[in-house]
Amino acid sequence: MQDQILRVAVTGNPNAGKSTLFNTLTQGREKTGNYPGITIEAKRGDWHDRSLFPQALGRVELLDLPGAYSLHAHSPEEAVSYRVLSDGAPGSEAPQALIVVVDVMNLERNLFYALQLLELGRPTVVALSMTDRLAAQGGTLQLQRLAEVLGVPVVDVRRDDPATPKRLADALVQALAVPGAERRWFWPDAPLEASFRDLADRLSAATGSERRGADGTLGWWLSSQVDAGELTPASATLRSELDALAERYFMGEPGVPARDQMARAAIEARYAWIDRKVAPLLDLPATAESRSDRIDRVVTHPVAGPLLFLATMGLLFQLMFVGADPLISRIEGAFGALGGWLSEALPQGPLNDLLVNGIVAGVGSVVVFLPQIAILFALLAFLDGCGYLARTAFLMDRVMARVGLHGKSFVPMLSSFACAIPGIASTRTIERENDRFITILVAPLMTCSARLPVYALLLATFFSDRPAIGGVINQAALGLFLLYFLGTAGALAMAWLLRKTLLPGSRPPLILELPPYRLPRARDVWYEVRERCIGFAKDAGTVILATTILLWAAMTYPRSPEVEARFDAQLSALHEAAPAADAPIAGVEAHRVQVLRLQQERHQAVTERTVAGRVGNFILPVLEPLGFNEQISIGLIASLAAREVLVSSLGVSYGVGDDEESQGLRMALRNDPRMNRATAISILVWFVFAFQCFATASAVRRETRSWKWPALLVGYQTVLAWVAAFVAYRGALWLGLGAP
Amino acid sequence: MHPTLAQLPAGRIARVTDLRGCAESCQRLMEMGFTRGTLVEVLLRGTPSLIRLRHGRVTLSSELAQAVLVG
Repeated sequence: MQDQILRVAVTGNPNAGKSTLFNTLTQGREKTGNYPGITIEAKRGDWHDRSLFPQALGRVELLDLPGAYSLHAHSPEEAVSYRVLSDGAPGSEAPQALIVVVDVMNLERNLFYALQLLELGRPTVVALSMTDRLAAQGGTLQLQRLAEVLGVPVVDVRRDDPATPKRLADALVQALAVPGAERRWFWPDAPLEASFRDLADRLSAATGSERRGADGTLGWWLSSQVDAGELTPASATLRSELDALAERYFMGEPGVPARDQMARAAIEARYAWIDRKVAPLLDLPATAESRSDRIDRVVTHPVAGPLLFLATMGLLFQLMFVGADPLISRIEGAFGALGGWLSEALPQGPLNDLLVNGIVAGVGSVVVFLPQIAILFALLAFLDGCGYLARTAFLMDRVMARVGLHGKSFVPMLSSFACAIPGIASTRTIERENDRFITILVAPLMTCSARLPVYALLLATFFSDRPAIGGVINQAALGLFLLYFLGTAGALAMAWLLRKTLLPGSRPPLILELPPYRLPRARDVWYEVRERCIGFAKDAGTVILATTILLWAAMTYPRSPEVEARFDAQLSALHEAAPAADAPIAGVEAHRVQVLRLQQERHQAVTERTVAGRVGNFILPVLEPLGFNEQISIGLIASLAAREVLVSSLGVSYGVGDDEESQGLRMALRNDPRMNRATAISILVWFVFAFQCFATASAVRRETRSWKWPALLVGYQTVLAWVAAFVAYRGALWLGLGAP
Repeated sequence: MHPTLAQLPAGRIARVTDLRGCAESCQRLMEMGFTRGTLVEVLLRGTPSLIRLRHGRVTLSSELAQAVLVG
């Protein structure tokens, strides 16, 4: 019985409340994974409370599919959603039962998709969300009557009711108990319906697939243009029969292909059915202006809207920077203490060095930025949950139009503020290929959270102690805002260039739903943040740890004992000559600086002779015009694995940790005479544009199914980064920022 | 000739009479509720415009608003 799995898909329109329901049912214990082969980010999780189901059903696995408006795919995301519904995820079987989430405040439009799913003829439960909102507006719905009309169980799944899982489980069991659920058809007229049944039966015979043949929507799927490439030879014959059928029934409108007319007739038939049978069951008083309307009056206002958007973004960055600070110093302290303790507890030698200077220092320098990443994801999840992200697509449509894209491309770009990889995956909501490719190619320019550790380190080191502008705006916070702005502007400029050259096309039409505003549940935001933070920590624990160890080795070997011995002799001579404790302060200070400088010289001399030092020196001539030193150029090599590795690499290469007197990497950077505000700006600008993430390249390849596009991405980003950093560095020097 | 949704002044409620010249997009418009006979209201005119229909709000770029005939 353990092996028995009941697969249940949770599906519905975007914004219907699928994920909230999914989180409630799984108690947040889900696995997000990309299925190999097809690229879909779908969550899987077990129904948490097993006791709600009879033992014999086995494990109940829920599948959270991306939102869709129709089984007729108009975007790659919907195509995947349909394919998983009909064939199952690769390596898995098709879901045996469906939970269709229907937003009761948008009942008619959500039911359209629900009707298509009912046509699949599988055990189905309709889950009504937002019923609390309906009650709050004084509306009512005859739930029992709706269930009778639809012929499937209908359940109120309001989000804060603890009885929701039980009600839904009972309904699911009830739906599964109906033997050979009657397939529902919502065809325009009876003779056409009979012809479709015939076609579907013949297709099932031709492909040998029982289940496929049972799909009532199959005929409509055949008539869909998006998936034409997926058709099997057998169904291609049927496709032409379908065309013949369409031509027999739909001659009405000249100039419109019969197949389109047929598809339209089916859509209107479903809506007509909804208007006739369902609309009378819903009593929703038409208020003059809802709360969402009042909020939208401001948010979508031509002047107030963009200002509010800028203010929101500014606040987001300020919170991220200021809010995380106390936690950061605490983590820094903890790792410092751990390193110090390990250094003393273990015998001296390579293992001690690896642990203290390699692993603890390297991983610690990255983990330190977890608070900021958590804050960013919390804010983005909150903005998405309350409906503001959809408004940003609306607001940005005018800007995106200038570069030949529509507002929908902005949402993947905004997600890329967190990480380009989910951002690239979320371009699947974009209908046309060229528009989608442009968005994919510019998304990596948006400032992702992996750049944050680098930004934070350099801004905090070189700008946070500067006086606030006008006494209010922290210079580091302003710098952060400017870096995000620079990345965004670069992305828009590149989009414009790509549109004009490699990926031409007219401006795509925008259709976008603006969901009602709703305060997201703290639990849903928390699950999102937790998932992202675990992902980041896992990276720090695997990719970054491995890179750190490799780097430590590359920066330690081959060793040069004679150089070390020479410096050590000088150092001990200097220690002997130390002024007495009661000597004048100036003398003590001068001596301290002397020791520090000698230690740094020793470190540099030793590093220069290692593998990393040689590679760094080899590429240095290319990077020198940008003001980069060897440490930075070594760090850039390391950061090809992941951007944030630069920080740990600098931590290792400045030898932070083996010196009792040093107070971390910030201090070491500030004390390096070759580092100043101009070089900091140059590095920052490089990081805004440069390609530094192999994971991104592989995501681009997966989405574009070609190595051509990732190669283009790497090429253009490198050239752009070099030119921009050069200009920024020279500009900063000209402004006099090159002084220590 | 009927006016299009793009010509409808903000605040006026009208009925969708037909969809013209947008093939694939027309189908999506209909799937999202722009079927013949549906009542629509322009909340905000411009590019993109904001339309209320069937208890929801949908934003459309101007070329699509021009494809929806109203009367």
